[in-house]
Amino acid sequence: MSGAGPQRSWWRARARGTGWLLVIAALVFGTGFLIALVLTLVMT
Amino acid sequence: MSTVLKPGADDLELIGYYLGKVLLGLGLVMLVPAAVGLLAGEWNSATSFVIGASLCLLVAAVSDARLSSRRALTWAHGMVIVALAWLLGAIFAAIPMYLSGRFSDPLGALFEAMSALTTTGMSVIHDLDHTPLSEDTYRHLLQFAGGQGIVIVVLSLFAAGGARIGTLYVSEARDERILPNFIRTARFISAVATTFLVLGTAALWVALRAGGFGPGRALYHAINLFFASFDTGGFSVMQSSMIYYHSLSVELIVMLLMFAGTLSFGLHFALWNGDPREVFRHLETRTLAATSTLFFAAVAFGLLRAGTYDSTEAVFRKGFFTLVSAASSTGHQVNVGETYLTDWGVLAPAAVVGAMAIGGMASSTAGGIKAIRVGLAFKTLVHDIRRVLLPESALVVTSYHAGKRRILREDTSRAATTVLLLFLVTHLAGAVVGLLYGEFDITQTLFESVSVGSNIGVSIGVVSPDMPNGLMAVYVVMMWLGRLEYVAVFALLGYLFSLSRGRAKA
Repeated sequence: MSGAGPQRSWWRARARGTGWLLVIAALVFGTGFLIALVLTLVMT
Repeated sequence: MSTVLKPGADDLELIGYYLGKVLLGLGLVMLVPAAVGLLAGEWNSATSFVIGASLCLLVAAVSDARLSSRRALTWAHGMVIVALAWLLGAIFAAIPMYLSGRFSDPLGALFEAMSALTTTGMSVIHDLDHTPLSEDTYRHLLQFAGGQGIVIVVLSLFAAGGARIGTLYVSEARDERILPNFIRTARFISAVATTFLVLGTAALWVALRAGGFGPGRALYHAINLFFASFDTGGFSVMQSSMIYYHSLSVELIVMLLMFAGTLSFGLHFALWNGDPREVFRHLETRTLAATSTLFFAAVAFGLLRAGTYDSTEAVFRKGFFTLVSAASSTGHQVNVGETYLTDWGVLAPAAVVGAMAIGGMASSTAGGIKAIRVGLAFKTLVHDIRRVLLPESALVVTSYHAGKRRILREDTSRAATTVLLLFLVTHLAGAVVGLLYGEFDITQTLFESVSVGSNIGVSIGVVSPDMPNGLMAVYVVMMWLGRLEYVAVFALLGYLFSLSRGRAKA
């Protein structure tokens, strides 16, 4: 039986996991940047 | 007459057998820097690692030969094994460090080893910038092993299952079973780590090459930066930590790795399965999002008010990076430690202390009280307020989402708030001990105590090669307690008590 099926899904899972992590991290870092930007504009 | 049963010889043999397995793993880890030392011509360092590895493997072989057992572990066994594994592991891990001659005394080497294994990341090594390749590799490998959980590393490599190894897993303060079998969970954790090892190292290598590093040097720094960041350990190759690189892209990649490291492995599993909603629904995510947003707003406000920085870029690169480093319990620094005392005002360092105290998520590589406990404590408070406000006959049910919808139970609340309280008491006690020496003020001792006790590693300058030995010893104990989140250590103390005062089994 070919092992290509389970192996491909394993790689897909890794790609999916990494992709979603990047999206969530971008949200987090973006929020942080926004806070820094707004406060800098207001206070300087 | 005591009602506590005295552990028998067979109990002690079982504990000794599993401790031997941990030392086997540690001995094999030491062979890697030994090989690096031999290849790099660092003969003294290579010799110290060979000696260290030989001692570990010898003890492991003796325990395997004399104490071999397939008896099932009880919870008590599991807790005691894990508590002793971390202590014994740090002692044996310190041997090659002390033999290297880079520490003033054995206590310094023990501090460094415990700091590495618990992924605290504070360092008392002399002349870090000129540390041999093999010794630096060793420090970072220890962080990797500790971050994954020594016991988990051993389980995934050596365990054949069938011996209620789950008790060891939970005793090591990991209480999420991601896959049906604990061994498979341990292996999934290793798979996540390996994925990020490849991607993170590659990204860092590219960023460092763009910054002018040669290919070999870029690879060396990239691998070590990965280990320190993903395992939220915080050791650095250079004394000046992240300041050395002067690179926004390196800082961003490192922040990404710290973020990945602080996410629980259960949430990594959800992302790998294409279920990002689980991340947003989870109590820990919401707690960390709320607290980190508040703390960063306080950091940014404090820095701007104190006039420390006046541009968005500076506030983000210095303030946000420090906040992520603190919240993820990594400990990487983009400032010299004394800066927090002299240039950051009062509000910004206080917010960093708050982020350090809370730490990251449970079942991740992060330290601290953990977001789940803070979230549960908050839910408990809300629950109690509702109970007071609603009619006596009303049935008050509070729920939260952690993997699935769960009802807040009294034992869950009590467990969370007890450990939270223990962390706070330890932080305060560590701060008071620091004050006894008369060299530091309360800002310094509290900052450092929280950083050590929560296994963070951001330093305000108290920890150094010349720090008082008594304080160093207290910090070693605090790092150990913090990593194990107290329960396993208390179980060990109870076991020792029962050894001396217990009633013999019939």
